[in-house]
Amino acid sequence: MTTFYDQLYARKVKVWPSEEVVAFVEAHRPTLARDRVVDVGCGAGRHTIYMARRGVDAYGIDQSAVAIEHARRWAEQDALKAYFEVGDFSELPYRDESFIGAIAWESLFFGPTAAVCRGLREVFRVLKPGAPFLLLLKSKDDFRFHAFPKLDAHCAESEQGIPVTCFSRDEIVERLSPWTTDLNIEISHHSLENGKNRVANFIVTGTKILTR
Amino acid sequence: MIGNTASWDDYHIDLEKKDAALLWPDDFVIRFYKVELRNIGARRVLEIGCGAGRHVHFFRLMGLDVVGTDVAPSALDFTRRRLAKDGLIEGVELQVADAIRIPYPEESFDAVLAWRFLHVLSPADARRCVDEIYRLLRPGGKVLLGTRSPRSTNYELIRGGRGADTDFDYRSGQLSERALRDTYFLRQDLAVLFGRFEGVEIEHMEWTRNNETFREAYWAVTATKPERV
Repeated sequence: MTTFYDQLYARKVKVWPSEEVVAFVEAHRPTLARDRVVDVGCGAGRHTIYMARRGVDAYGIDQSAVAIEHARRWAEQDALKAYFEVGDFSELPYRDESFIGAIAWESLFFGPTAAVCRGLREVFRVLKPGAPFLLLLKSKDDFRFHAFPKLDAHCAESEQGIPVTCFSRDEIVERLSPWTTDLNIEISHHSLENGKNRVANFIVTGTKILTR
Repeated sequence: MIGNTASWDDYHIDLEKKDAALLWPDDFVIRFYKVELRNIGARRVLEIGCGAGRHVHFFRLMGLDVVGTDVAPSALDFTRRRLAKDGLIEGVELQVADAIRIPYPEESFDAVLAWRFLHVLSPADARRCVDEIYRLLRPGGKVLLGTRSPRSTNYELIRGGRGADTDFDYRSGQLSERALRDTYFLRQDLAVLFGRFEGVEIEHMEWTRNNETFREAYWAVTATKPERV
């Protein structure tokens, strides 16, 4: 698995932060700037770097060593303090309730259902009560969910054998309800190949509940 | 001048505080640069309706010569300040101009970006704007144009006579007024509008706000001006 992502990051790297992440960071900046924020599946670090630039104590984690190497060099070149490490989102190497915010952008759907669900649990485990989060989750309206062989009720094996785990809106509400009561779920769709295929994501925000 | 210059002018005051996300290039525009502009070796690009200049900034950072036009002088002031701050002002020309009358000779540009403003023009002016883009492009040049699609909640609101969304900063105030002339194209309308171009590809994008109660929806048209035969 790691090899695929290493090849990906050796080839091309995204450097511009997504509008939604920028909006999230700016909306919560007074909170986020107080403590550590984790960027789960940070890739080559575009959002970790953005947060660091905005005065946030940002931690990026990704399973690709090539991506993390790139991210570290980037932070060093720009003289930014950001922490990067290689790791798996389904087993975050952080203490319980040790982050004041979390983002997982275009990452927390790559993998089999069990791994993605563990990843979601991990995000909420490491978040402090009341901490805001921003997740991009893959929707079952995505063409990949229909065009590729299904591994189970949520997961399709997409290009190059990469499993992509997808949810419906209701499944997200149900799955996240133990950890949050103020979910905001938006759709974000765009087409590819002259309208032939549809990429469909959910943009999920909220804060972790104060007490269980 | 066509369009509501004053309203757009107000919008660009204190933009940094209002909407930081609008300082960064759109994913679609990044892809347009990486795929189309690099392919044709584009050197000189025009952005019509450049607003606060996030794409002018982006293109200049990528080393292109850039012309940006807008109806709002404050937008261009904002862009100019931002470029100057980042040492990117050289190689950029900024001009107040109508989207249907860009003061440059024909075939002046390798690429034109007209991102998400065509819907504020009347259908006749939209036609003129696309013709203007055609005139300004060199043969083989590329255009990326974004405009609202009828899947926008605003389309339903306007059709229902309720006026458009007003809970958005820059779309507020002016919107109910502008909304009367917001123009919504169907896919086939765009195909006709871009009839003289080749390689026309039309993508659709939409996203929601307020827990899926409000939908923004746009077309993104990529097209090429044919080479001379």
